[in-house]
Amino acid sequence: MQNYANPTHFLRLVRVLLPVTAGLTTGLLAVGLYLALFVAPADYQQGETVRIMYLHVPSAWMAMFVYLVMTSAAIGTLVFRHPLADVAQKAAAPLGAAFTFLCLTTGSLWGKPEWGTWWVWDARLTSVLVLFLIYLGIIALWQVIEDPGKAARLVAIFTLVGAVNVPIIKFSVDWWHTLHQPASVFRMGGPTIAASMLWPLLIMAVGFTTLFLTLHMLAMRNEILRRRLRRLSMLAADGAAPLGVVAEPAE
Amino acid sequence: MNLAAPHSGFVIAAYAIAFVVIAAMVIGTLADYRSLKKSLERIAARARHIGDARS
Amino acid sequence: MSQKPQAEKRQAAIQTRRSPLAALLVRDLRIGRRIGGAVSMGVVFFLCLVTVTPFAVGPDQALLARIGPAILWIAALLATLLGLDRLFQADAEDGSLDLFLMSETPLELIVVVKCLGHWLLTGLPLVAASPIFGLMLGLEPAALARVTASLLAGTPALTLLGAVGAALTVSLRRGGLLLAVLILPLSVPVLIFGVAAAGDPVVGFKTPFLILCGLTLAAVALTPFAAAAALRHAGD
Repeated sequence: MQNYANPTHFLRLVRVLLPVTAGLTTGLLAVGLYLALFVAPADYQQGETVRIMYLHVPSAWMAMFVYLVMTSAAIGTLVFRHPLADVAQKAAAPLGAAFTFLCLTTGSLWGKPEWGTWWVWDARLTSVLVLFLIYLGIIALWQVIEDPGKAARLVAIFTLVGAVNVPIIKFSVDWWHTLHQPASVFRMGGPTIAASMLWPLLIMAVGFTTLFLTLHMLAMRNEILRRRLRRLSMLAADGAAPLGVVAEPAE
Repeated sequence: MNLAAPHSGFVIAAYAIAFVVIAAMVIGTLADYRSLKKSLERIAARARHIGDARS
Repeated sequence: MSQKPQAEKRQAAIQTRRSPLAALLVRDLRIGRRIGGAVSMGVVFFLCLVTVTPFAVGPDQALLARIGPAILWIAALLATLLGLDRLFQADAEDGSLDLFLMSETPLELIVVVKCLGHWLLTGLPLVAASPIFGLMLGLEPAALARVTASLLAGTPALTLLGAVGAALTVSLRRGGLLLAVLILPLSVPVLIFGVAAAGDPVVGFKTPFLILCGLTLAAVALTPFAAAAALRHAGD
């Protein structure tokens, strides 16, 4: 029952926070989309295609942010043995993969008109692709190990190994890219960016972050319920029906 | 947003894909929640049933 | 009282015995030599990959010479990773892994020794065979030396990275494919600098080779901890 203490508190917290973050997300994304699609000017060089940036850059930011969340959760699992950490980690992985996928597809859609091909082995796109593969590996590792506790610890180790590797991969891919192609490609969203473009970008980025937080809380709640269900069905299979456990509210 | 611009199709496609991915995440999580709740209630009802039969 | 001389005798016996790590290495090499022909199989697999590639890209000698280093590196990468899933599994099955976990020797060192044994059995033969296969791809003598040196410096890092994957998948019945999925993205830096050291005309040999050596040293320093942690957690 001690294990339950934290998740139950957490579920109560979720019930309070969820409307706030969901509302914030809706508002921010609505304003952000309006600014991005209707207010922000078309770029003099890229034309309307620049509007893809308002999706691409926030998803790229989320791809890295979610990995950061997973790394901290992995430390929480391995060092502090916090029961919520592995739930947080498991819930984050598919979301991170989805944002990374979004980053790749929007990058590809931006690349077709700007570079003339759907895919360029550009340094950034390539590192994001490798990050995507790492996400898929993490999800696969979650799926093949049946015992949730053991899976959590093994995935945590792999997440940390990946966290050490990601900067090395980024560095080596950059090096590889300058080797094969002199840096002539246009870079999306350099440091010099007009305020009319910066605002929608920032609002979209914050909106994506709150969207992730909302979804992450929902997914964590699902994961807690799934573990409760797993435990109860195992008890039921044993023939014992401890009413004390069952009678407590499912939420 | 100028719909007649040369590459607006790509912009629309990007936003459509983003919409689909995000909607899939939201709907998937909520559907998962509902099915989990249902299974939990079912198992609780069964346990109550067994408990009644025993007492 | 009577225990003391006995303890001394035991101490002496321990001192004359091999150190546990050396014993483990000798055991692994012996097993590798006797069972399964791991050495020859790895090299044959390497040869198969080198043979198949010209069928895919065409027999153009100039093209093959240009991409030869890359072919050799990809083949070495796959040959290293595909044999790795059994690195700890055999030990887990016959109970040796439990002895490793309980022994006084640090598990990290045991992992390093297991990797060394595995590399001597599979990595080193690949390195030794690579000049011959390079000749088949029409590489120049200078390029042959560079490929061989880069493989010599880089394959240990691949083995060590793969050991993390092997430790993570040790309890799975079919871990081989998952191991490759987990480890291939992480081996991108080794591949990049290995291929660059092996055959890039622009950048020269020294810089990528030194970075490759650095990657290998970093792998020696870091991956045993990850692999050992995974082995500890895989048991319970």
